[in-house]
Amino acid sequence: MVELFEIDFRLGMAVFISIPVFLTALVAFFYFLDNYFNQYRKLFSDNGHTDRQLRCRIAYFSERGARKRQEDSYYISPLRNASQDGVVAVVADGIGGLKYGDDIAKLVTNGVGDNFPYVFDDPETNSTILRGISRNIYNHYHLEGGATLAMVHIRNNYMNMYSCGDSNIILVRDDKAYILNPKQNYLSVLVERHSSLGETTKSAYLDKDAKALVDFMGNSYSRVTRTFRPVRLYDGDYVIVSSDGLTDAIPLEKIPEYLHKRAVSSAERLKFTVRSSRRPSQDNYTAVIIRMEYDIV
Amino acid sequence: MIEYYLFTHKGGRAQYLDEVFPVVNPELSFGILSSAKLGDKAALAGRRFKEILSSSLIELELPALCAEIDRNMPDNAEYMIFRISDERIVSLRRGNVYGKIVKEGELKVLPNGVLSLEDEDRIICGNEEFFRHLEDEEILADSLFAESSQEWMNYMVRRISDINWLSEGNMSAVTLIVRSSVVKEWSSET
Repeated sequence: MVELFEIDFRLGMAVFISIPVFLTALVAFFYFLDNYFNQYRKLFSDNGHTDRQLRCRIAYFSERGARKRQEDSYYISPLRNASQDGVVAVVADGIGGLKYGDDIAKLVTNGVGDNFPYVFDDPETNSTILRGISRNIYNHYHLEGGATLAMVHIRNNYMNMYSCGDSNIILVRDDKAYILNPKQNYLSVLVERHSSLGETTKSAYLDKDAKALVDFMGNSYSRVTRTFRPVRLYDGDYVIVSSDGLTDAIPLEKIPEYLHKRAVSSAERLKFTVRSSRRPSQDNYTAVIIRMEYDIV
Repeated sequence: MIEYYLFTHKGGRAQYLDEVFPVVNPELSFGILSSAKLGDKAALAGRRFKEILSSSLIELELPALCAEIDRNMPDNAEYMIFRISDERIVSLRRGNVYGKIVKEGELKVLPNGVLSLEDEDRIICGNEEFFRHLEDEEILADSLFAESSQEWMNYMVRRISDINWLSEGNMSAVTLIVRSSVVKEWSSET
């Protein structure tokens, strides 16, 4: 009886000890595997020198906000031939208070769409095409309206940017957001003036006309700024092309908090955040959200 | 040809005590001195710095020139000296005055020593106060959007102004663009 108990006791102890030992060995094994394959993960991860192509995952929203009219417009190029022609995403924001803001914003995005595809390596010519669209608008409307333009052209891990006015091209990288395009508003003129005189610029931000656009699509000779060389994009980057209705409602530094691993869910979060803020003066808000990621294949 | 634009601003301080000094003898050279850590020795150090760079010592090789500056300046002086031509830039720095270079659409830190240059390479050198509120992604985007060295500087100054109204310390910076061909003029005509 005692022997039987001792055998059972030893068996029990063996099982009792072997389970944690087995689990520890299992964890150690997976730890080893993780470390072993980490070198290959690093090899295939984006360090800026791989030839692997990033893919664009795109989502968008365009909402009226508290305004009576939707004066934002957007265009996303067809994705079927993206490896050759790239992806073009543009947002145009009609100037509020002028008669034809909504029509002109649509003319801008339609004009961009009509001229697609663009030569990726020739941003100067593309900029000239965009100025041509602006000139046509001017010839028709004679400053009775205008719109901003923010446009990206992404191909093979690189991005060219085009901008006119004060809409945003935002890059979110490593949980930090950056507005990449310069703002063509009166504030820029005032800051330049004050800084050249060696003055601080606080008064420039208090100027009632600070946000007024000094250039826009539909101006007599509008200047469409463009990158003369493309910017490199990396796995996990987000590019957001948006009207200022988005950044008025969500501060730039908060935007990364709403981004998810999927472009669609990120767009939904941003949209519902602006919508639920219920700002009485909420401008139209439109954004094209592009997530750059490697394909599984 | 090297196109450049200098930016100096006293910020919220009573006086501008940094130095940014361009010299052409025999190559285009620049000296940037930061007054941030010099305290009441700043004005004197600035004068000495300028005197050295205006003298025949500027013809010395950079390490010898820097040794001469080190001999004549307070121990905690922060400065950067560089010489630039269409083909190369040679730079030496002490402390938190530094440069960044945009090459082939990517931004890198400008190393001490010699670096070869190509057409449209863009360089920004400045003191820590200037760079404090600028992120690399922003500097890069601004450089790629800019038609000229002045415009590039204006874009960056606007960003700094958005954060601090240019009301902190002395800021000193220079933007440079290598133009191996004739400067292209931007035209708004379609």
